[in-house]
Amino acid sequence: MNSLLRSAFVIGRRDFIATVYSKTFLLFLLGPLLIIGLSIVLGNATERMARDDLKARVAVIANEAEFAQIAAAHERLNPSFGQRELPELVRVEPDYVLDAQVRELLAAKDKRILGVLTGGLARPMLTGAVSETGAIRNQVALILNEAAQQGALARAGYRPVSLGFVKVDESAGSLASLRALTARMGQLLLFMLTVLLAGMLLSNLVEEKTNKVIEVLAASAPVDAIFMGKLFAMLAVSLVGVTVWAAGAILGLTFFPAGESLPEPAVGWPLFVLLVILYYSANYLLLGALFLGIGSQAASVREVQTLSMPVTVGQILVFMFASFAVGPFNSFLGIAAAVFPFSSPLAMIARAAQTSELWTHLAALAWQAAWVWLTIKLGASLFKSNVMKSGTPSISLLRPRRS
Amino acid sequence: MGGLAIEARGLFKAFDGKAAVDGIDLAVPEGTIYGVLGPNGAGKTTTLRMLLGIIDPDQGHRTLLGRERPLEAAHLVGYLPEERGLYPAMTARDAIAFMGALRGLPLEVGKKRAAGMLAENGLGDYVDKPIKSLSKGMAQTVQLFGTIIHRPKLIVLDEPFSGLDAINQGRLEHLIRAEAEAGATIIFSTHVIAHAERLCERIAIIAGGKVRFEGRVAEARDRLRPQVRLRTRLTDGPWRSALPADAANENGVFHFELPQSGIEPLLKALIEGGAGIEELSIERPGLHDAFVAIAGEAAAREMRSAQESELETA
Repeated sequence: MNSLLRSAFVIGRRDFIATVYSKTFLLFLLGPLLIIGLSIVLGNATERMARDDLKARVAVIANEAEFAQIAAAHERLNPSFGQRELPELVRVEPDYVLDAQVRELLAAKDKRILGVLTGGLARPMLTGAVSETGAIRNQVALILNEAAQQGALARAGYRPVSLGFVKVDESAGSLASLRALTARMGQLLLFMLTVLLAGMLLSNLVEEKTNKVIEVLAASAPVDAIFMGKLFAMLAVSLVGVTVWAAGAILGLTFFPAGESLPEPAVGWPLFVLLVILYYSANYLLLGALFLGIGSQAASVREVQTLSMPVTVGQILVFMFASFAVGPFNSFLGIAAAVFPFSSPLAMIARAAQTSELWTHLAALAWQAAWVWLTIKLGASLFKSNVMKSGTPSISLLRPRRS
Repeated sequence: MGGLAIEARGLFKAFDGKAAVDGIDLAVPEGTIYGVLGPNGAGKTTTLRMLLGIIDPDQGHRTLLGRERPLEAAHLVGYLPEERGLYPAMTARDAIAFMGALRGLPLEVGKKRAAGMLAENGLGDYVDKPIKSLSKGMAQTVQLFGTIIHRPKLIVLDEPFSGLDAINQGRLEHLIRAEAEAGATIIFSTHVIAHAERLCERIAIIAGGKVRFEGRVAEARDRLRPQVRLRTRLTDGPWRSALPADAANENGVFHFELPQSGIEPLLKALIEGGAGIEELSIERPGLHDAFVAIAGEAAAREMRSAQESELETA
């Protein structure tokens, strides 16, 4: 066992250094950083544009007193709409020729007016390029109703209902839906990182086969050790990348803060982050071992390129299967996704977001580690048998039929 | 000393239903230089790969330095494969140290030894040069150093002279002798009989996946009787009855095996018969002659043509 690990370490160290110290690794690091940076900057700019420029704007031709009533109603109702805010209201002093004023307002490019409200609360009329049954018309009607009703109630001496409020940290109903979002985001993060990074393992043995180093390696170490060394080297390379990208994302978010943070996962943020790292590693090793095994059978770079597409499709299918663990994670499909080795890491990170039980993670990590080992053994056995021409693989299920 | 570095019994390996190695037995004593001779496709490389544990035999078993599982002895073995392979971007020093590290030599020790070996062999300027910038011969030297950097007890060389020019072949022969003197067992495959004849104490001649001969070089030669070359003034006479019946006559020169009775009765008969001896020589057969006799003329022709094409390449 010691010599197996030693050989794996020597092979892994060579691969790690060869990859990290290459010029192309800088491009590898910068690519996603560029995407993260652009997403943050463009996201912020887009949000500001949406807030400032693209927000629906309705001109209200009314005197100050009447507009104050309408604006007050707008203020009261607006928080109920959350992010989908009510249209912005802009008061315009009435002109002598109302129709001409309306036309002029709607045509003014600098003002970006969507509709013009005339007639005050008594005979309101909305003119604009909006749908007759759409949100803008309904929202303006709602504001006007609120303004009129509040005026009438105030005159009748009626005070609006004051709703008492006691805040609790969590409730079953709220948390389940909120944590499902964290679960989905966790899965998406793991999936995206693995799709980006694990594919490299498909072509990992092509170099050794092309320059004949494989013979030197195979004479000094078991093929299992070669596979293991290569797999862990590429995991280490990917973790270097992930660390750099995460640091870049944190730095970016410091300067350009995001709107809202994700709801806290059930196991708490520190443990969740640790589990993300562990499950990412497990997911990488599982799929990586599979890709290494598949790629090692390819005779050329062209064959590897041909394999890339079906392999990506396979990853998407696994991701879709794992999404059954978001929401009803204890359902049959949710548990099946957690048990099926290749979807297990994705399913389990969703579980970590939704339930605080910890023993399942220990069991899942042990289960996934066992499958990593089994996949390496299987890949190595097939490689030795088919590529090194050593004879039938030691796993009897895969014994090829002899003609 | 005294034990066997390699022992193989009934090794059998088939590819796509065709036997590449068909029941090979080998016994390589510790501390010897052992040659595996045979034409291309004879099964030499497959045999060596099975001995090293790179591939498993379909039948038979082998022990390497006393281990049933050859890879358990990997730290005591150095192997130069027929198809040389190095990482092109690695420096010469790192490549040698990496091969040592694969065999359990600490990387830093390997780097120091590698720099020393390269410098001693006139390659000091190339220590930190990437393999891709070296000539083919230099790269082969680097790989050879990587094979022995960890001071193995057993060195396995598959066609080590292939692709080397005459000077480098000489250097390699010197290195093989030096390693043997230092106590290592060396087994190498070759299709160049001259190398085996100069270097080996024992040989195995393989043809068609089978061992045709296994033993000392002298024993292989002794399988043939010494050859007599005789030129006489007269071409015929009663003395002719003293020559073997199958003696060949080429332009008045007779070639035949030395009779079992020895040279003296033959000489007496020739002199008394008045043959007029102009030239008489007795030639001890070379390993090539023994190879032809053992493996067959076709195998020998194949060996010769492979050797010629290699010399052209070098």
